[in-house]
Amino acid sequence: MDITLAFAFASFAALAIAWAVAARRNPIVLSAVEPVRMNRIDGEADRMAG
Amino acid sequence: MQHLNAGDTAWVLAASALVMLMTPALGFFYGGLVRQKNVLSTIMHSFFALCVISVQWVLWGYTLAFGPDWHGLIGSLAWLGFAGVGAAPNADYAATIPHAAFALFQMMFAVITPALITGAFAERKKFGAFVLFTLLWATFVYDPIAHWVWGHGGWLAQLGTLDFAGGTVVHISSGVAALVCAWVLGPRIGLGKGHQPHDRTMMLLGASLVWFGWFGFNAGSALAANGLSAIAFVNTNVAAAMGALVWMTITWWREKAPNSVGTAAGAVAGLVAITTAAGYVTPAAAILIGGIAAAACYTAVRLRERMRVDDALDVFPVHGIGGTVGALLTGIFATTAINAAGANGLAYGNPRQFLIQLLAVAASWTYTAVATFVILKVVMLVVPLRVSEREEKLGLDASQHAEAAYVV
Repeated sequence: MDITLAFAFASFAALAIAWAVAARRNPIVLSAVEPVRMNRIDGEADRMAG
Repeated sequence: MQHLNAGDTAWVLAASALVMLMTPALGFFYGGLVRQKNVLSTIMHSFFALCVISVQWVLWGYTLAFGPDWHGLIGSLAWLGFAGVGAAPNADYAATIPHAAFALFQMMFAVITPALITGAFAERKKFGAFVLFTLLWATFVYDPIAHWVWGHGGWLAQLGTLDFAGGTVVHISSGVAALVCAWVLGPRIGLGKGHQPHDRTMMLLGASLVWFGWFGFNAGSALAANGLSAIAFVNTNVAAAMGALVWMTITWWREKAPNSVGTAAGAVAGLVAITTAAGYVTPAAAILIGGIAAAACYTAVRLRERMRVDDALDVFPVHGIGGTVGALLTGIFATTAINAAGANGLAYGNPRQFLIQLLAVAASWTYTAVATFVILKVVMLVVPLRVSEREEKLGLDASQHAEAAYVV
């Protein structure tokens, strides 16, 4: 395996590890979403859920 | 020494671009069908698949699928990182185009296959779980099946299985995997309480672009700019049209309205079914295949609705059943008058071809179902498959991506 290919594999492996770590963290970042919009989504969801 | 053909090379590169477009188009097709709060996550699934499988394919996917054969089951690691896949042709696959062009074309098939599955778990799968599932599924399901059917030395290829453009490799595998995913994940919260597509115009635009890209998918699979690619092009278009007409007519008759969702689903059903057959059958047979597939897929959708398996966007009925119908009908309608490199089917005096197709279908169904189930269980060890109830009610755009699709 040449050195370039080794680095390509390593960089993809690093991404995969980062994804695995990120996926185990709480993904909800509501502050990034417009609050009014979120309230509407919430309201709609609650109505849908009956 | 093999000689490159400029026309063939140009067509296969253009076809690769057409097939690439299908994946984001699929995202819009699916995106229009989900509720507003999940549209971004749904499109993101397809877009992510395009990104991650493009890299996976170069690093190890291509060599597993098409590399030098190992006992008919899988390719060796000889072409890891596209080693040796360059400007010179590989006569085992395509003698007149660069090997890299063939590998690129196949990459786009590998990209769209896991993207198709995403319709089954729309609106409830955790993005992290989707990421891990996609990588594992492409490696342990798509790559081996592609080798069986298309790889030089693959066991189904050696038996004489006909799969012109991936009805078995792409659609049966994704459709059956979709059913398993939907079953393991369980239904969405509040299923049946007013889940409606949020934007049918987006859905129709996505379906239209998928249809457009399918010309590359099927006509490109001739791997040359020649008469066979023209036949495949014609067959693709007419099967899609017939599928749309039949499904629309059924909904008009049974549901009193020729609805747009059904018409688009019918076109996709026709496209799925003709994928196996495009380069082996006459245009008249393509009309029959498109129509029969649409009727079969419509029936499968109705049956699926009676089950508690929430295949959200009907991936299994359209791709699993459509792909199966197409593979079997290829075993009936294939004729060497269209493609001398193919075989005659049952209708042309060769019942053995139908049995070969049946075996390929059974093998693909079985392996995909078992392997997909195992992969899902492995993913569950690392990260939960589903979002929490609150995240699902909020919608995946907000809970998984911290974004909203529309600001109104």
